Amino acid sequence: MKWKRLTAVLVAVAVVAVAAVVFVRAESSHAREVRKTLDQIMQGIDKPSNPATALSSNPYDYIKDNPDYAALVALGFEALPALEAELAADEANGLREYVACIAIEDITNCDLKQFPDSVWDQAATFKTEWDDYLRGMPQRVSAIMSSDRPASDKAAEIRRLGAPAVPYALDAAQEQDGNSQSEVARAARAAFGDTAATGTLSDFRREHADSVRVIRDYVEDRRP
Amino acid sequence: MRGVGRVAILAVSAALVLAPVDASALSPSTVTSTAQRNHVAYSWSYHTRGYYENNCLAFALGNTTAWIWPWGAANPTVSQVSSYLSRYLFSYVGPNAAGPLKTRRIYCYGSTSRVTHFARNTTATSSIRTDAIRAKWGGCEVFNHRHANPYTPTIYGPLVGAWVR
Repeated sequence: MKWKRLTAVLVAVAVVAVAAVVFVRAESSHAREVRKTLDQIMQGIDKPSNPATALSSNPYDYIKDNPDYAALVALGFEALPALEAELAADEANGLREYVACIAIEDITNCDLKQFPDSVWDQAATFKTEWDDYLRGMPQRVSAIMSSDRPASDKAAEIRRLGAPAVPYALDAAQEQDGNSQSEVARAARAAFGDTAATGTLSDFRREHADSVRVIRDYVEDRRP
Repeated sequence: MRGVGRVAILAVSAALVLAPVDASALSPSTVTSTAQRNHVAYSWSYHTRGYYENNCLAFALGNTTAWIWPWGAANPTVSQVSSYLSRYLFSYVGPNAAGPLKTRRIYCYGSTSRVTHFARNTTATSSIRTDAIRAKWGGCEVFNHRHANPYTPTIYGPLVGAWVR
């Protein structure tokens, strides 16, 4: 009897240990991919095909038509924690970190600088502003979705907030009429960079279930 | 003796491996050729090498450890630059200002609808145009210029704005 119990405990411990190792490896593989791609971007920047680019202070000039940057953005929502970790990894606040900030915005289809209260002008200020932005996301979406404004206006606001708003908009849309749900589905597709023009809210939920879970976890991770 | 040397090498190797990584290490940036420099400015003198942790706007503001760009992909207008620099208490005086001016100065280049570059002063004369300036060229090095309007039209263009504090 004792042996059976001991074996069960050992098996449980082994399962947890294997799961932990798999989880850590999966996480670090995203981090590795992000770091490798950022390194490639900086190596390309150091040997620009157009020498005029190296003389620019506009960070967006360095990523324009840059296949390595496109590859970074193509990593998608899964890369967001690793990109953010790059900002927190050390005190560097240069071009590499700025590029990571632009990638976070491009992946989430969110342009913080469009908001009048935005003051981000370097990676260090982006990091603080982005963190605050995500912390307040459920409340922002709730305020929009519960307002009396037309459904199309609400959807436009959700679209402006980008992908981090989508899980909360989907929750709120459950309670709303068919027209509102169609508008939210359209906004959600745009915020996810999905070019399909049609499809119901249920279609969207089904097609993007994993991505919705990933982006929700990403937002929720920073909530107290 | 040989044994001592081996121990010393091992000790140094261990120290290098165990030494904490310098998190504030800077990344040296692109070095321009003389031909490129002549392409950018009518007159220039090399000041110091550049790093990817700093661009022209940050350098003009006196910040050597940040890449500062408060705008999006489109380069700003002079008016947008004015709005940003007011955060740092700089007031716009224009590229032709003269007379008694405050001594801390920032200059911008390009056109009023598309600013391409910034510099700061190393001397404060009675006229903006006659100030000697220093600027970091994008991701590249830092250069000195004898006057405030030193750039060719190819990359940065003429002086189009100036602010004082």
